[in-house]
Amino acid sequence: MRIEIDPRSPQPPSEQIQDQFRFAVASGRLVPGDRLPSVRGLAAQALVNPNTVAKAYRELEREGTVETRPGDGVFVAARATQRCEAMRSRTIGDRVTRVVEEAVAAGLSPREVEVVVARALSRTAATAAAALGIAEEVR
Amino acid sequence: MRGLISLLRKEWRDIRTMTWMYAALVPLAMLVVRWYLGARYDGFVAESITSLRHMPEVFPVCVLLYAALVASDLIAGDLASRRSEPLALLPVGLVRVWTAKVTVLVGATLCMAAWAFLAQALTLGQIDGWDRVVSFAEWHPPTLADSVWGNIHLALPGAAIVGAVLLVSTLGLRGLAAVLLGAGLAAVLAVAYDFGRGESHLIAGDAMVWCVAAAIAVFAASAMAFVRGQAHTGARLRPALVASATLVGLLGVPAVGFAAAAHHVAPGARFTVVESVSASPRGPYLAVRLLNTLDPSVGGATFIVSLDDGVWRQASGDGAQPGAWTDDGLLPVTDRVVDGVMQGALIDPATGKAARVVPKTREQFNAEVRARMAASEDACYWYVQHAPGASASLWNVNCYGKKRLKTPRAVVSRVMPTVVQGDARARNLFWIVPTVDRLARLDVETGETTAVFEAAGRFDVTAIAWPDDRGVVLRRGTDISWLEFATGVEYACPKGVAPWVAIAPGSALRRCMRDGNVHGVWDPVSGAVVWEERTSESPGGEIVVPVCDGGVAIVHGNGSIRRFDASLRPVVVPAGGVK
Amino acid sequence: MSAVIETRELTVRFKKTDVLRDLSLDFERGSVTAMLGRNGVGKSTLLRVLVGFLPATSGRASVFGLDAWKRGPDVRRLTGYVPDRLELPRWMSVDDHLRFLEAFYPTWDRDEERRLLKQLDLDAKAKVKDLSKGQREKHALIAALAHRPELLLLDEPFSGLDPVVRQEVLTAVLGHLRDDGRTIVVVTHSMLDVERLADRIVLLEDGRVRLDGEAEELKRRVRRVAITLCDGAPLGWTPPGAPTVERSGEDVVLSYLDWDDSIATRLHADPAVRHVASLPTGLDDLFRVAARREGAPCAV
Repeated sequence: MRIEIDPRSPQPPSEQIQDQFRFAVASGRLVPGDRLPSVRGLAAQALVNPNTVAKAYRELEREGTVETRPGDGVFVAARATQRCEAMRSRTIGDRVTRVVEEAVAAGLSPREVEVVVARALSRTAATAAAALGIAEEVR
Repeated sequence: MRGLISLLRKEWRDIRTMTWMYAALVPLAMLVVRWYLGARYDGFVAESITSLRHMPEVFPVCVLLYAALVASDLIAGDLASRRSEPLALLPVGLVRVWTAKVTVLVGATLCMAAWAFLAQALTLGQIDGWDRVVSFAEWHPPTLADSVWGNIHLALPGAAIVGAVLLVSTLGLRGLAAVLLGAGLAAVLAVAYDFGRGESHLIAGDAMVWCVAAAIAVFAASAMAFVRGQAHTGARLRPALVASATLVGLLGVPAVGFAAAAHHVAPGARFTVVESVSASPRGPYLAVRLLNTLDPSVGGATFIVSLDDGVWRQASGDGAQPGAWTDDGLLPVTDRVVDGVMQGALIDPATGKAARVVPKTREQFNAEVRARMAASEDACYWYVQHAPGASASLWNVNCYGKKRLKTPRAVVSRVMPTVVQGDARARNLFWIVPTVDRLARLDVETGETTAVFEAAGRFDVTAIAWPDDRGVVLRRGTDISWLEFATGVEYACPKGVAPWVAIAPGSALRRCMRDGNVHGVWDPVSGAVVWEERTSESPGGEIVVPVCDGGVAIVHGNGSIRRFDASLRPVVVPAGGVK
Repeated sequence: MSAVIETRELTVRFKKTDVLRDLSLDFERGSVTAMLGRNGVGKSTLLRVLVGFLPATSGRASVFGLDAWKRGPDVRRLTGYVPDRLELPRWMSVDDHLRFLEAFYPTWDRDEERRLLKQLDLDAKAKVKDLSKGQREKHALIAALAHRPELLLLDEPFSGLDPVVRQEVLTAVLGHLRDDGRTIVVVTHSMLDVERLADRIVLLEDGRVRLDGEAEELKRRVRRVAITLCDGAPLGWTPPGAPTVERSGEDVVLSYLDWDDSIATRLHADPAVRHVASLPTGLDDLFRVAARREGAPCAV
């Protein structure tokens, strides 16, 4: 799976890597038992320092999302899915909270915020559905 | 070891293009020099420029300039630019880096020296015949070493170029001040070279040619070392570097030119004085020996002045030594010709050209000089005695003693004319010889000499001439000078020489005055006495000759004024009186 | 981990100016350190001292346990150094230069050299003088990497490069990290590359260390917030923490290098503050904030 680092993001690269793996697990793109790319492979692909990748992997392992099998590689841990789903909700929740706070600060009424969110949701869902449809066909 | 080889290879690549270009230019330079000198001097002997021993300017300049080019590129250029950084960042010590640079510098210079030598031999063989090459190559180390050591000063122009190029390339990148410094160094070295060298090898006219060639070489060196090298010249520095090279040329060349001019011996030239004057017994001619005050060893020049038209003719090349006029009115001179062979010549004063030439080979000359050096301290002017037709080896005749002597005796002194006065005085030899009809008998045998003594320190006398029945004597004391006419041992009273009219020949000779020196001449044909003096005081009872503004006055016994050319402005001076 | 580079009270003086002052830094094996700082604060000088190009005026610098000045050749044999400019003779081609260098490094790896030439798409036959800026950088990088040095010192490797070349250079540098224990010190102004490359940031100011820490940690702690004060805010109100303060009209921008979430809480709770908004912040803000004059926790 492909990991992209956005150097402009306020989030440090290792956290970006962690989030992308957590979301992948939460969404089912990675399932328990899947092997993660090697540290050096991922570093070369994402153009980051291998130490950064290693750090992300250490963090993921500490929280139990992945496990290292010595001599074999790093794998998605059993029962990681639920934990990742929970963390995803929390992360996304935080971000949405920030956006909503900004909207309220900018003077939008709760109703208007709801409308904006609903509109964005329906647009994204349509795109996602279309994308899924294509993916389905390919599969 | 691998690193050193790699460094050597890199340094060689740095100078390779330049080296090939230079190697191609060397034979060309040899040819041009051979052609130029050959065209300039009659009877030019190729050996004189080509041999390492006799005129080694070409060879060292070629080699030293190359060394300068290489050094400026490998060392100074690297130091001045950031090109030295990659070398300093190599995983070897700087000693290794510099070892490689110096090795390449020395090696390439030696190779270039060998090539220059070979090119010289080839040029010589091609133009002057292959037998010359044999004699060219026939040198043996002691002679060569002596010659190199003896001519070490000749390396100075090369050193000037080296210094300037190095300095400019080392510091030139850091501003105009350094550039000026480099040019100044070249100029100073050039002047020092010309002032400091012994016998001049750079004939005055040639000096400029050499200098211009050197300037072009410096310019080319700068161009090759800098302008083509992006590595250590930016577009901003390039004009500064071109300017610096030009400055070296502009300052250095005139400096050498000036220095050469300072050694130029000619009437009216700076630093030129009259050493001696003598009159021809058969015509209105004066033989004037001029000397350079800055550097007596430069050698003097002999001129023949026609009293009829005031024209100065050089009797021969620089370094000619005049002897005493012959009875038939020819002037014997020695001549140091270009190829180093000494020869005597009898100069026809009307033309200034040799009427007869008495050549000597260098070997003969050397042998004779050595023999005479052993036998006599008079050796310095052996050639006068041996010049055919020379009437006398007696240079000066004067009266001795404060009182008039009744006995017919003449004091005859010998002076070695090649030596400056202070030095010569100690070598004056005096004979008191009998007189016949109140004339000193110069042809008497040595056995009849009544006395021989040295005049050192007492007084200095210089006879001007011994025309007809009178000796014209110039006396020099420490402070005063006076003129005496003597007949035999009698003081002469020149009643017939009146009224006195003095003519100063003008600025040309006037500027040649020297303190404490008085020269004079008797012109037996016109009856003129020519002298030069600076002292107004004279002892009483003598003939007092008026001072003519410190210049040379020509006194005409017949009262007529001989006009010289416009530059020789007549100055009429009241007669000092006849006693 | 052990320190590959150690400097102790390192001072370098040019004429009468101290370029580096009492610098004591350790660079661990395997670390990638970005040296930041404004122009002329001595970053490049530090690298030059480390490769034995300049002597320390006082103090010492050792690399691989060797004195950088006295054992310069040995240090350089183990080090790859990409200077900010490389002046080479005009006749040299890339290959000439690499062959020239090869003789000096026992560990020179021809395969690695070929791989790098290919990866960076550099023509070995090209004359050095004809190379573009990007190609010169690639050339210098290959020259520094082909002997597989344990330590890589990069002086502004990304400056003046277009994005494509920058990425190629970055990839090559990251590629060098494939092997364990490779240490890199990079002097740069390119924050985006620092983000990807560095795990430690040292920020120099006036020859001294102003900031030194883990890159991500520093990034987390740098924060800029815009606040609006109430009309009734007391004169001489002091913001929590030690930010630098800028006023732009009504708003006050607080720039923190030591942010933590408690500061946010305190700001929100402050009765004098009417409104708080985070401003987008990145590593370049770290640089900007740190580079600003120190000692600005002044009253608004």
